[in-house]
Amino acid sequence: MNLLILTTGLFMLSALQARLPTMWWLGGMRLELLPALVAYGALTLRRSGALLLALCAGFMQDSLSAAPFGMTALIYGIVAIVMTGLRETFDRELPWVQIGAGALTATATSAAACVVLGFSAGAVFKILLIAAMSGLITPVIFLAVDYARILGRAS
Amino acid sequence: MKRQNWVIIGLLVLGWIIFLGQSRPGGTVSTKLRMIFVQLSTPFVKLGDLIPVVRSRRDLARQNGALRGENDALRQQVRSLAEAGRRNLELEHLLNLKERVPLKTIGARVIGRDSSNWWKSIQIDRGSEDGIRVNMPVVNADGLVGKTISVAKGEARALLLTDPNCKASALLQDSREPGVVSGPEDAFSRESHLLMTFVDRNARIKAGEAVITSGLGGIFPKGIHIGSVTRVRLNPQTGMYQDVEVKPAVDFHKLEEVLVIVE
Repeated sequence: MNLLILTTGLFMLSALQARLPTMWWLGGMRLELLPALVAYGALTLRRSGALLLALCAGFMQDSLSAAPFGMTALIYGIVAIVMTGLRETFDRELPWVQIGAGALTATATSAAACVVLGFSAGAVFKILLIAAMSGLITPVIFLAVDYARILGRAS
Repeated sequence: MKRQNWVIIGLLVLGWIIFLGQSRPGGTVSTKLRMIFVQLSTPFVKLGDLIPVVRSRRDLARQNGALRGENDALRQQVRSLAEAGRRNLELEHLLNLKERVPLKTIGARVIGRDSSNWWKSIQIDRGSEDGIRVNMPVVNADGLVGKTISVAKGEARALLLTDPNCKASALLQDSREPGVVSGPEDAFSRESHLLMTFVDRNARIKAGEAVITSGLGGIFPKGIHIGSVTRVRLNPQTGMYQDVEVKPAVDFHKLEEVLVIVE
């Protein structure tokens, strides 16, 4: 059931990320939802499961983007390994831990994109903005996936 | 962090380097893997069409009024252009010019945007079985949109002209000065604009002058509208060329239907 919920979540979030309208008042910025799911996997699943989810999320994001294929998968994979190694230090139920995990994942992928495209003052501002937006949406994703898993166990 | 974690990260990076090493164009591991993920995700992306677009009646009435006005103006323009077209044909006959072959296009619907904030592309619902190939120009009624960069069965991805990696050889319509148009390098800008570089430093360019494709480069045919000049300045780094800021003719935030030029 967990596999089904996470797979459905992965497909739905990646499709939503590609279909949600951009925020024109923020320079056409897009809300990134997949970093939140990667953070969820890293703070909840076993290392192998978290790594698999991170790689699938990365490949999914790259397949719906003009980014070099595999770049996001690598970054999500590294973040998942680092986070699963550090998670005993933190309490995953705390909202600020979830926000931090989501923001860290988004920052890592943005920094990798900047390595390819080049850094600038505007890029740093954009990284911070993406991290803030992804961080804030992370507790919502945690709540939704946890709730879906509880419902799945009950049925 | 434990030593074991570093070993896994090392293996992951090594695997990625080998994976990238294989990614030559055409039939490679990464291309095939990408196709699998695209085929898996496309049905979910298309599900987005089922979400109804909620708009207030007042907005629709206002939009309707604006469109009626625009329609009247366009009718007038079509009448005058038909006359100009007839005259152009007569002149072409007089000059014995070779008749220009009309472009063959395929209409496509935009089904998705780039899921990343760092690249600018769109996903369209036509693919390889419709005759779409990589590096085909994508346009709409307003002008140049971009070019196709990857094609699969039933879908293709087009890189928008606002992306710095999409470059089009261009021409200033009145002054006939050539240059290269691409998306701006700055990662964050609220206004969508393009940059025309390598324009002769002595060229006299007026604000509002139209920018069109020059036909050089082998991808974009000549004469497609790109936008209009908003600002001109000397390149701050070299001082050898002028940088021309171009307001795109296409509203890249509101792309719904596009045409792919297949011939």
